[in-house]
Amino acid sequence: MGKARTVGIGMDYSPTCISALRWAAENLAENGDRIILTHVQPPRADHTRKELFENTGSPLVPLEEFREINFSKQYGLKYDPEVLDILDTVSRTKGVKVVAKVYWGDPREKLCDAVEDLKLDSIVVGSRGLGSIKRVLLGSVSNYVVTNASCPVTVVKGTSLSKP
Amino acid sequence: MTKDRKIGVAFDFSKGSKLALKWAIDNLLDKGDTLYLIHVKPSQGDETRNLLWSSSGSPLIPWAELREKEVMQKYELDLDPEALDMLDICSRQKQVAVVAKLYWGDARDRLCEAVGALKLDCLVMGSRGLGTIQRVLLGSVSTHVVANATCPVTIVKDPVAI
Repeated sequence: MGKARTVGIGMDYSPTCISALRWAAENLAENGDRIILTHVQPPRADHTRKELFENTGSPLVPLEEFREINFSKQYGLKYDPEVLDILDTVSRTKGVKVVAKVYWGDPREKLCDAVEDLKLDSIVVGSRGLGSIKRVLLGSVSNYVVTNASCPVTVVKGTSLSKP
Repeated sequence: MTKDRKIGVAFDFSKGSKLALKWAIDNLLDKGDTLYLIHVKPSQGDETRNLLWSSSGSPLIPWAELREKEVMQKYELDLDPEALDMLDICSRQKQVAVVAKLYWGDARDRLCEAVGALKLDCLVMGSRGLGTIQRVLLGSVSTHVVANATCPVTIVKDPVAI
């Protein structure tokens, strides 16, 4: 059904993010497409890989490597079995290529930069991340990305009314 | 791989909403899904049709009926040939059920209500409509719907805005 697309998922392991990943995997990604799990770590973090890749972000890491616990530690990511499960399933059942990339800096800017860098056809983000103000309907990062990214942006809410 | 999803596309005849429609058709819609073309007209007030449907919106209008010129005129919809074409292809080649629904009132509220009322699985819309402030990156309706709708919302950017 047309050309292979590259879909970015903004990932910080918050609940709405995981819903976003699940939504993208179930609804958007098709055979031949590529999902790039895009992480943005805080600029002052102290990860072993950071010095190497601070400016351009990490290289694109394929799923097999990304699912190793070592990888998560080196980049300071949370090792989340649920996320890995969703990625595994989508890669196997739908023939979707899954890679991960880590940036360091402000998530707002880096996610919008990623759209250009990685030539994303579209990006999917959760509605709220790990910020402390829980009653806000739309987090600052999601808000910024929706307004400024140059590709279509999908915002997925946490309490999704998707069919069982 | 029928999923029977209900995908809404908010339409106001702006370039952005046409792009949104195209994106939804190219990327999201699959065989078996239903495309809800949603159009919100500003409250006009005195037409009897409007009075009846002012709260819940018009009934669902199937594509076969809507594409007739007389029907379009009756509902004051002005779909241009390109949009008509896209919807035609969508309905025929992709085997997607296309229905339209009209609401009257404020687009912000109506679109959010529509998500609940029609049980939409997701909503696609443009980033800016026909508003006068052209330099705004994200229009007020899109901003409101993204924050308040209960389903995933996709905003398709107007290329002029970038």
